[in-house]
Amino acid sequence: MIFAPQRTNYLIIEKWKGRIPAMDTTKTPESKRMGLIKALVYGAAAIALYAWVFSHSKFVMDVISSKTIQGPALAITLVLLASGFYGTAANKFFKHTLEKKLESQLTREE
Amino acid sequence: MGGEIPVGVEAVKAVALTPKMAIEIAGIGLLGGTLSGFLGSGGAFIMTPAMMSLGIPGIMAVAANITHKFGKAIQGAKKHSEFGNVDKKMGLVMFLALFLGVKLAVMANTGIAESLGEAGSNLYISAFFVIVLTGLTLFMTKDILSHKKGIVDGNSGGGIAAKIRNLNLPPIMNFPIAKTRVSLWIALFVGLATGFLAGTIGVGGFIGVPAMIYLLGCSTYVAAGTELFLAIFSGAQGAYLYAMGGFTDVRIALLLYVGSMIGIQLGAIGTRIVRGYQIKLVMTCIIAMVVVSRGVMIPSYLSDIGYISISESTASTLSLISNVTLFGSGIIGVLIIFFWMFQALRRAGKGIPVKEKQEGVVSSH
Repeated sequence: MIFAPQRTNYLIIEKWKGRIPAMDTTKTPESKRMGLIKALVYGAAAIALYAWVFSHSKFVMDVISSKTIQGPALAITLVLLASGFYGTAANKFFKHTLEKKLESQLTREE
Repeated sequence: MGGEIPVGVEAVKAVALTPKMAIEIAGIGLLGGTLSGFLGSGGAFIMTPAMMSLGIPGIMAVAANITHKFGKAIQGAKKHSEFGNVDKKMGLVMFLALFLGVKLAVMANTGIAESLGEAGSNLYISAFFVIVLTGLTLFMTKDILSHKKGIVDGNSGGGIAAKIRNLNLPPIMNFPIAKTRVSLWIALFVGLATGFLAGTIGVGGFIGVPAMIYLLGCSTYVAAGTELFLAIFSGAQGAYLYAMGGFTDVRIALLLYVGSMIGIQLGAIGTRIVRGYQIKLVMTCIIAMVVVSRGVMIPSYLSDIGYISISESTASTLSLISNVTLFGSGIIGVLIIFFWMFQALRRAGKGIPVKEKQEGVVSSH
């Protein structure tokens, strides 16, 4: 009884052997539409973050100038979030626009 | 640093950001970001003085710049990594030695400042700056000219650089992304020397990128990408220390991102449509102009310590020339990059293939 489920699994694997295509390890390139949607989402997140920081600037500056560990922790968190959101938005946008347009001009010569 | 903290706190509270100032900071970010993305370095030398010229106190400008550099380097290294331009193994090896080099330089600078005073320290840094970067400019100019003449042997730098690079001191390390094999000791020495020079004159990338190209045998693209990877660590350390001291105005760092996140993408994409020697050309132009900018200030520092005497009007003229050359170097560098990108876009629009484009570029110089 204990081994029954394993046996069942084995039989299922045997049944499907050869029918399941090998797992594709190559990354599917992101479509332009999906890339630009992601850029928009990350851009919106960046705008929300900027709006929060500038509307709560007194609180933010008080924490950062407190000379406690909360200061660098908040500064670094904000910097990482801002560069992450905004940087990813810019990256996605340029990847599907400028980079695509320049594809025929790529070179890697010294 | 401890004694300066109260000043820093007062200064943090003093900065009032106006919409005009915010736009100007974003513009400075665009300039620095584009240079960083294209060269792997070259933001700080222009961003800090530019922010100071807007009325931001020096220590806060440095703090905002280094805090901003942390996130910028992450995004820049990520972008370059997509293009296969980041050798993390080389970056980590260099970082260890670089860290020690910076510590040694800070000790040397502190000792000189204590024995010679502020004016003496300024003179030492400027003289060091001019000597080292003049040598580098001449070396890189020679290399670029040999490219122009068609002497491309894949062993750029030649002479002493090639001899150092080819030293066979075990253990030999293989850097797969950079496609180079070099002695661990040479990599550590380059990191140490780069760190010392960066710690002395404050412009790490201007030394680090050429050192990786000529002494470690990296391609120009990999050197630029790996330098950005290295900048993540120095940026993180700087961001922590300045924030701990209460000097960081994170709003300035965020405003810098408005321009620099676009600039770093443009700069990194720019490296894909130019040849390695064109990256070197932009870097050499900028370094040469920065050398002039520092060089013209030497008489003022000599006057400060009483070696020579110059009038106040001469001193202010020299200061003006220094500022114009400094800001001009960054602006000219970015304009060259944008010009090449514009040319590539036009050619892409006309369907001219890359080979034809390259001939055009070579002939245009």
